[in-house]
Amino acid sequence: MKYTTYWGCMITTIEYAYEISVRETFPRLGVELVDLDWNACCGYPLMQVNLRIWLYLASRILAAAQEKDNPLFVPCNGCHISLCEAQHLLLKHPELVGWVNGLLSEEDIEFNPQKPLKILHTIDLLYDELGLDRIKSVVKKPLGFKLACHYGCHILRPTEYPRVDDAENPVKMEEIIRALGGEAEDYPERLECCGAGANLVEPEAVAALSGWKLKAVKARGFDAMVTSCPACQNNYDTKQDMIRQVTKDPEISLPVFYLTQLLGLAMGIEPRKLGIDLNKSPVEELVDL
Amino acid sequence: MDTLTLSEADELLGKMRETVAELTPFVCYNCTRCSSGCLAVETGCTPHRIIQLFRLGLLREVEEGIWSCFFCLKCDVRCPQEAKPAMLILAIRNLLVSRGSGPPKGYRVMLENVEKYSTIQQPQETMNKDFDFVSRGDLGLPEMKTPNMEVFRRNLRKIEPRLLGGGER
Repeated sequence: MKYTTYWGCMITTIEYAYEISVRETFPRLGVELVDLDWNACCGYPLMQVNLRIWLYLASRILAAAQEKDNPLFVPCNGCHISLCEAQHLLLKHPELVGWVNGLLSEEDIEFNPQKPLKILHTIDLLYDELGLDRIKSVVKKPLGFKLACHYGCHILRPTEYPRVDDAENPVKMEEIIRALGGEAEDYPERLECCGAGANLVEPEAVAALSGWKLKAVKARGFDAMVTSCPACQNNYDTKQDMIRQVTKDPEISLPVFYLTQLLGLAMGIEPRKLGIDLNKSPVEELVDL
Repeated sequence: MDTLTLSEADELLGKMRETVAELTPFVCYNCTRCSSGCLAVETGCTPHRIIQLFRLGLLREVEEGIWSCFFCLKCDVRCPQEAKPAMLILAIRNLLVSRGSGPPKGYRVMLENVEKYSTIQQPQETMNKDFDFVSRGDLGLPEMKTPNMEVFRRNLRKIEPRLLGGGER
Protein backbone atom coordinates (compact mmCIF):
# COMPACT_ATOMS: atom_id res chain seq x y z
CA MET A 1 0.00 0.00 0.00
CA LYS A 2 1.65 3.18 -1.24
CA TYR A 3 0.74 6.61 0.12
CA THR A 4 2.06 10.00 -0.93
CA THR A 5 2.96 11.70 2.35
CA TYR A 6 2.67 15.40 3.06
CA TRP A 7 4.21 16.33 6.41
CA GLY A 8 3.60 20.11 6.54
CA CYS A 9 5.48 22.67 8.64
CA MET A 10 5.04 21.77 12.26
CA ILE A 11 6.07 18.11 12.09
CA THR A 12 9.14 18.86 9.95
CA THR A 13 10.41 21.84 11.95
CA ILE A 14 9.78 20.98 15.61
CA GLU A 15 7.45 18.02 16.26
CA TYR A 16 9.95 15.39 15.08
CA ALA A 17 8.60 12.64 17.36
CA TYR A 18 5.51 12.33 15.15
CA GLU A 19 7.54 11.97 11.95
CA ILE A 20 9.99 9.52 13.56
CA SER A 21 7.24 7.31 14.97
CA VAL A 22 5.26 7.25 11.71
CA ARG A 23 8.36 6.43 9.65
CA GLU A 24 9.29 3.69 12.13
CA THR A 25 5.89 2.01 12.43
CA PHE A 26 3.98 2.37 9.16
CA PRO A 27 6.41 0.51 6.88
CA ARG A 28 6.26 -2.45 9.31
CA LEU A 29 2.50 -2.53 8.65
CA GLY A 30 3.05 -2.66 4.91
CA VAL A 31 2.49 1.06 4.37
CA GLU A 32 4.98 2.55 1.92
CA LEU A 33 5.42 6.28 2.48
CA VAL A 34 6.41 8.36 -0.57
CA ASP A 35 7.29 11.94 0.36
CA LEU A 36 6.24 14.83 -1.87
CA ASP A 37 9.13 16.19 -3.96
CA TRP A 38 9.21 19.28 -1.73
CA ASN A 39 7.69 20.53 1.50
CA ALA A 40 5.79 23.79 1.93
CA CYS A 41 3.08 25.37 4.08
CA CYS A 42 -0.50 24.17 3.49
CA GLY A 43 -1.70 27.70 4.16
CA TYR A 44 -4.11 26.84 6.97
CA PRO A 45 -3.05 29.42 9.59
CA LEU A 46 -2.84 32.11 6.90
CA MET A 47 -6.48 31.51 5.97
CA GLN A 48 -7.28 33.89 8.81
CA VAL A 49 -5.41 36.69 7.08
CA ASN A 50 -6.24 36.14 3.43
CA LEU A 51 -8.34 33.29 2.10
CA ARG A 52 -6.72 33.47 -1.32
CA ILE A 53 -3.24 32.92 0.08
CA TRP A 54 -4.58 29.81 1.83
CA LEU A 55 -6.33 28.50 -1.27
CA TYR A 56 -3.22 28.99 -3.39
CA LEU A 57 -0.93 27.30 -0.85
CA ALA A 58 -3.29 24.37 -0.25
CA SER A 59 -3.99 23.86 -3.96
CA ARG A 60 -0.34 23.60 -4.88
CA ILE A 61 0.10 20.78 -2.36
CA LEU A 62 -2.94 19.04 -3.88
CA ALA A 63 -1.60 19.58 -7.39
CA ALA A 64 1.86 18.26 -6.47
CA ALA A 65 0.27 15.24 -4.77
CA GLN A 66 -1.89 14.48 -7.83
CA GLU A 67 1.30 13.94 -9.84
CA LYS A 68 2.14 10.93 -7.65
CA ASP A 69 -1.06 9.00 -8.31
CA ASN A 70 -1.41 7.52 -4.77
CA PRO A 71 -3.81 8.34 -1.96
CA LEU A 72 -2.47 11.27 0.09
CA PHE A 73 -1.52 10.69 3.74
CA VAL A 74 -1.53 13.84 5.89
CA PRO A 75 -0.62 13.20 9.55
CA CYS A 76 -1.21 16.81 10.76
CA ASN A 77 -4.79 17.77 11.68
CA GLY A 78 -4.37 21.34 10.42
CA CYS A 79 -2.92 20.26 7.08
CA HIS A 80 -5.60 17.59 6.78
CA ILE A 81 -8.51 20.03 7.10
CA SER A 82 -6.71 22.55 4.91
CA LEU A 83 -6.31 20.15 2.00
CA CYS A 84 -9.75 18.53 2.43
CA GLU A 85 -11.47 21.92 2.53
CA ALA A 86 -9.49 23.28 -0.42
CA GLN A 87 -10.30 20.22 -2.54
CA HIS A 88 -13.97 20.43 -1.50
CA LEU A 89 -14.14 24.07 -2.62
CA LEU A 90 -12.26 23.49 -5.85
CA LEU A 91 -14.61 20.66 -6.82
CA LYS A 92 -17.65 22.78 -5.93
CA HIS A 93 -16.54 25.99 -7.66
CA PRO A 94 -14.91 25.49 -11.09
CA GLU A 95 -14.08 29.20 -11.30
CA LEU A 96 -11.70 28.76 -8.37
CA VAL A 97 -9.89 25.97 -10.23
CA GLY A 98 -9.26 28.43 -13.06
CA TRP A 99 -7.87 31.04 -10.69
CA VAL A 100 -5.65 28.59 -8.84
CA ASN A 101 -4.33 26.92 -12.00
CA GLY A 102 -3.45 30.33 -13.42
CA LEU A 103 -0.94 30.64 -10.59
CA LEU A 104 0.12 27.01 -10.52
CA SER A 105 0.86 26.90 -14.27
CA GLU A 106 3.92 29.04 -13.58
CA GLU A 107 5.12 26.28 -11.28
CA ASP A 108 4.41 23.65 -13.97
CA ILE A 109 1.72 21.92 -11.93
CA GLU A 110 -2.07 22.02 -12.03
CA PHE A 111 -5.01 20.87 -9.96
CA ASN A 112 -7.10 18.42 -11.95
CA PRO A 113 -10.72 18.34 -10.70
CA GLN A 114 -11.24 15.07 -12.62
CA LYS A 115 -8.73 13.34 -10.33
CA PRO A 116 -9.79 14.17 -6.76
CA LEU A 117 -7.41 12.82 -4.13
CA LYS A 118 -8.31 10.40 -1.38
CA ILE A 119 -6.91 12.23 1.66
CA LEU A 120 -6.15 10.24 4.81
CA HIS A 121 -5.06 11.08 8.33
CA THR A 122 -3.18 8.80 10.74
CA ILE A 123 -6.39 7.66 12.42
CA ASP A 124 -8.40 6.68 9.35
CA LEU A 125 -5.36 5.17 7.66
CA LEU A 126 -4.94 2.89 10.69
CA TYR A 127 -8.63 2.26 11.32
CA ASP A 128 -10.21 2.20 7.86
CA GLU A 129 -7.35 1.25 5.51
CA LEU A 130 -5.44 -1.23 7.68
CA GLY A 131 -8.19 -2.22 10.11
CA LEU A 132 -8.19 -3.27 13.75
CA ASP A 133 -7.41 -6.94 13.00
CA ARG A 134 -4.23 -6.01 11.15
CA ILE A 135 -3.24 -3.74 14.05
CA LYS A 136 -3.97 -6.44 16.63
CA SER A 137 -1.84 -8.89 14.66
CA VAL A 138 1.35 -6.85 15.22
CA VAL A 139 0.91 -6.22 18.97
CA LYS A 140 3.71 -7.82 20.98
CA LYS A 141 3.60 -5.73 24.16
CA PRO A 142 0.04 -4.68 25.02
CA LEU A 143 0.05 -1.11 26.38
CA GLY A 144 -1.64 -1.89 29.67
CA PHE A 145 -2.36 1.68 30.69
CA LYS A 146 -5.41 3.91 30.62
CA LEU A 147 -5.43 6.63 27.96
CA ALA A 148 -7.44 9.78 27.45
CA CYS A 149 -7.85 10.20 23.68
CA HIS A 150 -7.56 13.75 22.38
CA TYR A 151 -8.54 13.82 18.69
CA GLY A 152 -7.99 17.51 18.04
CA CYS A 153 -10.69 19.62 16.41
CA HIS A 154 -9.79 19.72 12.77
CA ILE A 155 -10.04 16.04 11.89
CA LEU A 156 -13.59 15.95 13.31
CA ARG A 157 -15.10 19.24 12.12
CA PRO A 158 -16.76 20.76 10.14
CA THR A 159 -19.48 18.54 8.69
CA GLU A 160 -19.79 19.96 5.15
CA TYR A 161 -17.24 17.50 3.76
CA PRO A 162 -15.99 14.13 5.03
CA ARG A 163 -13.87 14.16 8.17
CA VAL A 164 -11.96 11.38 9.90
CA ASP A 165 -14.67 10.47 12.42
CA ASP A 166 -17.99 11.71 13.81
CA ALA A 167 -17.85 15.34 14.97
CA GLU A 168 -19.61 14.71 18.30
CA ASN A 169 -19.08 11.03 18.99
CA PRO A 170 -15.80 9.81 17.52
CA VAL A 171 -14.75 6.24 18.38
CA LYS A 172 -11.84 5.28 16.12
CA MET A 173 -8.96 6.42 18.32
CA GLU A 174 -10.36 4.64 21.39
CA GLU A 175 -10.80 1.45 19.37
CA ILE A 176 -7.23 1.65 18.10
CA ILE A 177 -5.98 2.09 21.68
CA ARG A 178 -7.99 -0.95 22.79
CA ALA A 179 -6.56 -2.95 19.86
CA LEU A 180 -3.10 -2.00 21.16
CA GLY A 181 -3.94 -3.41 24.57
CA GLY A 182 -4.64 -0.09 26.25
CA GLU A 183 -7.71 1.09 28.10
CA ALA A 184 -9.71 4.02 26.74
CA GLU A 185 -13.02 5.58 27.71
CA ASP A 186 -15.05 8.72 27.18
CA TYR A 187 -14.56 11.74 29.47
CA PRO A 188 -16.40 15.08 29.58
CA GLU A 189 -13.49 17.18 28.28
CA ARG A 190 -12.70 14.80 25.41
CA LEU A 191 -13.73 17.07 22.52
CA GLU A 192 -12.41 20.31 24.02
CA CYS A 193 -9.91 22.25 21.93
CA CYS A 194 -6.23 22.59 22.93
CA GLY A 195 -6.40 26.27 22.00
CA ALA A 196 -3.46 26.22 19.57
CA GLY A 197 -5.35 28.49 17.17
CA ALA A 198 -4.91 31.41 19.58
CA ASN A 199 -1.29 30.71 20.53
CA LEU A 200 -0.13 33.64 18.40
CA VAL A 201 -2.42 36.03 20.23
CA GLU A 202 -3.18 34.75 23.73
CA PRO A 203 -0.40 32.26 24.65
CA GLU A 204 -0.96 32.49 28.41
CA ALA A 205 -4.71 32.02 28.23
CA VAL A 206 -4.15 29.04 25.95
CA ALA A 207 -1.61 27.56 28.40
CA ALA A 208 -4.15 27.92 31.20
CA LEU A 209 -6.78 26.08 29.15
CA SER A 210 -4.37 23.31 28.22
CA GLY A 211 -3.55 22.99 31.92
CA TRP A 212 -7.23 22.77 32.77
CA LYS A 213 -7.70 19.78 30.45
CA LEU A 214 -4.50 18.02 31.60
CA LYS A 215 -5.62 18.41 35.20
CA ALA A 216 -9.10 17.09 34.46
CA VAL A 217 -7.70 14.07 32.62
CA LYS A 218 -5.43 13.21 35.54
CA ALA A 219 -8.21 13.70 38.09
CA ARG A 220 -10.38 11.25 36.15
CA GLY A 221 -7.81 8.51 36.65
CA PHE A 222 -6.16 8.37 33.23
CA ASP A 223 -2.46 7.44 33.14
CA ALA A 224 -1.69 9.51 30.06
CA MET A 225 -3.13 11.45 27.13
CA VAL A 226 -2.78 10.47 23.47
CA THR A 227 -2.92 12.87 20.51
CA SER A 228 -2.62 12.64 16.75
CA CYS A 229 -1.96 16.30 15.93
CA PRO A 230 1.38 18.16 16.18
CA ALA A 231 -0.28 21.36 17.39
CA CYS A 232 -2.20 19.59 20.17
CA GLN A 233 0.87 17.58 21.17
CA ASN A 234 2.91 20.79 21.26
CA ASN A 235 0.39 22.37 23.62
CA TYR A 236 -0.14 19.41 25.94
CA ASP A 237 3.32 17.81 25.91
CA THR A 238 5.92 20.45 25.03
CA LYS A 239 4.43 23.28 27.05
CA GLN A 240 3.86 21.63 30.44
CA ASP A 241 6.60 23.78 32.02
CA MET A 242 4.95 26.95 30.74
CA ILE A 243 1.54 25.65 31.84
CA ARG A 244 2.81 25.16 35.40
CA GLN A 245 4.28 28.66 35.41
CA VAL A 246 1.15 30.35 34.04
CA THR A 247 -1.27 28.45 36.28
CA LYS A 248 1.10 28.49 39.28
CA ASP A 249 0.03 24.89 39.73
CA PRO A 250 3.05 22.57 40.12
CA GLU A 251 0.74 19.53 40.23
CA ILE A 252 -0.11 19.71 36.53
CA SER A 253 1.96 16.92 35.06
CA LEU A 254 0.86 14.10 32.75
CA PRO A 255 2.57 11.89 30.17
CA VAL A 256 1.39 12.75 26.64
CA PHE A 257 2.12 10.54 23.62
CA TYR A 258 1.51 10.53 19.91
CA LEU A 259 -0.79 7.71 18.82
CA THR A 260 1.99 6.42 16.54
CA GLN A 261 4.42 6.28 19.48
CA LEU A 262 1.97 4.05 21.35
CA LEU A 263 1.48 1.95 18.22
CA GLY A 264 5.25 1.43 18.11
CA LEU A 265 5.51 0.61 21.81
CA ALA A 266 2.78 -2.00 21.45
CA MET A 267 4.64 -3.44 18.45
CA GLY A 268 7.63 -3.89 20.75
CA ILE A 269 9.79 -1.19 19.14
CA GLU A 270 12.49 0.42 21.30
CA PRO A 271 11.14 3.74 22.74
CA ARG A 272 13.97 5.93 21.46
CA LYS A 273 13.34 4.71 17.91
CA LEU A 274 9.88 6.24 18.33
CA GLY A 275 11.22 9.60 19.50
CA ILE A 276 9.77 9.10 22.97
CA ASP A 277 12.92 10.69 24.43
CA LEU A 278 11.87 13.89 22.61
CA ASN A 279 8.60 14.20 24.53
CA LYS A 280 8.79 16.90 27.19
CA SER A 281 6.07 15.49 29.44
CA PRO A 282 6.95 12.84 32.08
CA VAL A 283 6.63 9.86 29.71
CA GLU A 284 9.35 8.07 31.70
CA GLU A 285 6.66 7.43 34.34
CA LEU A 286 5.22 4.81 31.97
CA VAL A 287 8.04 3.89 29.61
CA ASP A 288 11.63 2.82 30.35
CA LEU A 289 13.83 4.97 28.14
CA MET B 1 -18.05 56.34 14.60
CA ASP B 2 -16.37 53.83 12.25
CA THR B 3 -18.89 51.23 11.28
CA LEU B 4 -19.06 48.30 8.95
CA THR B 5 -21.78 49.20 6.52
CA LEU B 6 -24.06 46.42 5.46
CA SER B 7 -23.41 47.11 1.81
CA GLU B 8 -19.68 46.67 2.36
CA ALA B 9 -20.31 43.53 4.38
CA ASP B 10 -22.59 42.15 1.71
CA GLU B 11 -20.00 42.73 -0.96
CA LEU B 12 -17.39 40.95 1.10
CA LEU B 13 -19.67 38.10 2.00
CA GLY B 14 -20.46 37.75 -1.68
CA LYS B 15 -16.78 37.24 -2.31
CA MET B 16 -16.44 34.93 0.67
CA ARG B 17 -19.13 32.65 -0.69
CA GLU B 18 -16.75 31.76 -3.49
CA THR B 19 -14.03 30.71 -1.15
CA VAL B 20 -15.42 29.71 2.25
CA ALA B 21 -18.99 28.50 2.40
CA GLU B 22 -22.48 29.87 2.41
CA LEU B 23 -22.40 32.43 5.20
CA THR B 24 -25.72 33.07 6.86
CA PRO B 25 -25.26 35.16 10.03
CA PHE B 26 -28.70 36.68 9.55
CA VAL B 27 -30.45 33.42 10.41
CA CYS B 28 -29.03 33.49 13.96
CA TYR B 29 -31.76 33.68 16.61
CA ASN B 30 -29.30 34.33 19.39
CA CYS B 31 -29.79 31.09 21.31
CA THR B 32 -26.14 31.41 22.53
CA ARG B 33 -25.46 27.71 22.11
CA CYS B 34 -22.25 28.67 20.27
CA SER B 35 -20.94 30.66 23.22
CA SER B 36 -22.05 28.22 25.89
CA GLY B 37 -19.71 25.56 24.49
CA CYS B 38 -16.92 27.94 23.54
CA LEU B 39 -13.60 27.82 25.43
CA ALA B 40 -12.44 31.06 23.75
CA VAL B 41 -15.00 32.94 25.85
CA GLU B 42 -12.23 32.72 28.47
CA THR B 43 -9.93 34.67 26.16
CA GLY B 44 -12.44 37.39 25.30
CA CYS B 45 -14.14 36.05 22.17
CA THR B 46 -17.88 35.39 22.41
CA PRO B 47 -19.34 34.02 19.16
CA HIS B 48 -23.02 34.98 19.58
CA ARG B 49 -21.99 38.51 20.51
CA ILE B 50 -19.81 38.77 17.42
CA ILE B 51 -22.72 37.69 15.22
CA GLN B 52 -25.03 40.30 16.75
CA LEU B 53 -22.46 43.09 16.54
CA PHE B 54 -21.71 42.20 12.94
CA ARG B 55 -25.42 42.39 12.12
CA LEU B 56 -25.47 45.85 13.64
CA GLY B 57 -22.38 46.76 11.62
CA LEU B 58 -20.37 47.84 14.66
CA LEU B 59 -16.76 47.53 13.60
CA ARG B 60 -14.87 48.57 16.71
CA GLU B 61 -16.95 46.33 18.94
CA VAL B 62 -16.67 43.40 16.54
CA GLU B 63 -12.89 43.80 16.41
CA GLU B 64 -12.55 43.39 20.15
CA GLY B 65 -11.57 39.80 20.87
CA ILE B 66 -11.96 38.72 17.24
CA TRP B 67 -8.40 37.31 17.08
CA SER B 68 -8.82 35.25 20.27
CA CYS B 69 -11.05 32.62 18.66
CA PHE B 70 -9.23 29.25 18.41
CA PHE B 71 -11.11 28.38 15.22
CA CYS B 72 -11.97 24.98 16.69
CA LEU B 73 -15.23 25.00 14.65
CA LYS B 74 -17.33 23.59 17.48
CA CYS B 75 -19.83 26.46 17.15
CA ASP B 76 -20.23 25.81 13.42
CA VAL B 77 -21.10 22.17 14.09
CA ARG B 78 -23.44 22.87 17.01
CA CYS B 79 -25.39 25.88 15.69
CA PRO B 80 -29.02 24.77 15.19
CA GLN B 81 -29.45 27.45 12.50
CA GLU B 82 -26.19 26.74 10.66
CA ALA B 83 -25.24 30.38 11.07
CA LYS B 84 -21.56 29.34 11.09
CA PRO B 85 -20.11 31.69 13.70
CA ALA B 86 -16.52 30.49 13.07
CA MET B 87 -16.80 31.12 9.34
CA LEU B 88 -18.13 34.59 10.10
CA ILE B 89 -15.18 35.24 12.40
CA LEU B 90 -12.87 34.11 9.60
CA ALA B 91 -14.65 36.43 7.16
CA ILE B 92 -14.43 39.38 9.59
CA ARG B 93 -10.71 38.78 10.15
CA ASN B 94 -10.13 38.80 6.39
CA LEU B 95 -12.23 41.94 6.10
CA LEU B 96 -10.32 43.72 8.86
CA VAL B 97 -6.98 42.83 7.27
CA SER B 98 -8.14 44.03 3.88
CA ARG B 99 -9.10 47.36 5.51
CA GLY B 100 -5.57 47.67 6.91
CA SER B 101 -6.34 46.64 10.48
CA GLY B 102 -4.24 43.80 11.86
CA PRO B 103 -3.46 40.99 11.66
CA PRO B 104 -1.65 40.41 14.98
CA LYS B 105 2.13 40.34 14.66
CA GLY B 106 2.44 36.52 14.86
CA TYR B 107 0.50 36.15 11.62
CA ARG B 108 2.72 38.68 9.82
CA VAL B 109 5.84 36.82 10.96
CA MET B 110 4.32 33.55 9.77
CA LEU B 111 3.52 35.01 6.35
CA GLU B 112 7.02 36.47 6.02
CA ASN B 113 8.53 33.10 6.93
CA VAL B 114 6.43 31.30 4.35
CA GLU B 115 7.66 33.79 1.75
CA LYS B 116 11.29 33.27 2.87
CA TYR B 117 11.41 29.53 3.55
CA SER B 118 8.12 28.12 2.17
CA THR B 119 7.25 26.91 5.70
CA ILE B 120 6.03 28.83 8.76
CA GLN B 121 9.42 28.39 10.41
CA GLN B 122 12.78 26.76 9.74
CA PRO B 123 13.67 23.39 11.30
CA GLN B 124 14.64 23.91 14.94
CA GLU B 125 16.76 21.91 17.33
CA THR B 126 14.88 20.21 20.13
CA MET B 127 16.06 18.90 23.49
CA ASN B 128 15.85 15.21 24.31
CA LYS B 129 15.60 13.58 27.75
CA ASP B 130 19.43 13.51 28.00
CA PHE B 131 19.39 17.34 27.69
CA ASP B 132 21.10 17.18 24.28
CA PHE B 133 19.91 19.49 21.53
CA VAL B 134 19.22 17.48 18.41
CA SER B 135 18.44 18.42 14.80
CA ARG B 136 16.57 16.58 12.03
CA GLY B 137 19.91 15.27 10.79
CA ASP B 138 20.91 14.00 14.24
CA LEU B 139 17.62 12.11 14.37
CA GLY B 140 18.19 10.52 10.97
CA LEU B 141 15.31 12.41 9.36
CA PRO B 142 15.65 13.34 5.67
CA GLU B 143 16.30 16.93 4.66
CA MET B 144 13.16 18.59 3.32
CA LYS B 145 13.46 20.22 -0.09
CA THR B 146 11.87 23.54 -0.95
CA PRO B 147 9.92 24.27 -4.13
CA ASN B 148 11.04 26.78 -6.77
CA MET B 149 11.11 29.77 -4.46
CA GLU B 150 11.37 32.45 -7.13
CA VAL B 151 8.11 31.55 -8.85
CA PHE B 152 6.49 30.82 -5.50
CA ARG B 153 7.32 34.27 -4.13
CA ARG B 154 6.16 35.94 -7.31
CA ASN B 155 2.83 34.12 -7.01
CA LEU B 156 2.47 35.03 -3.33
CA ARG B 157 3.09 38.68 -4.09
CA LYS B 158 0.59 38.52 -6.92
CA ILE B 159 -2.13 37.63 -4.44
CA GLU B 160 -2.60 40.99 -2.72
CA PRO B 161 -1.80 40.06 0.90
CA ARG B 162 -3.76 42.92 2.44
CA LEU B 163 -6.91 42.95 0.38
CA LEU B 164 -9.10 39.96 -0.23
CA GLY B 165 -10.24 39.93 -3.82
CA GLY B 166 -7.54 42.43 -4.77
CA GLY B 167 -5.42 39.75 -6.39
CA GLU B 168 -5.71 38.30 -9.87
CA ARG B 169 -8.68 36.12 -10.62
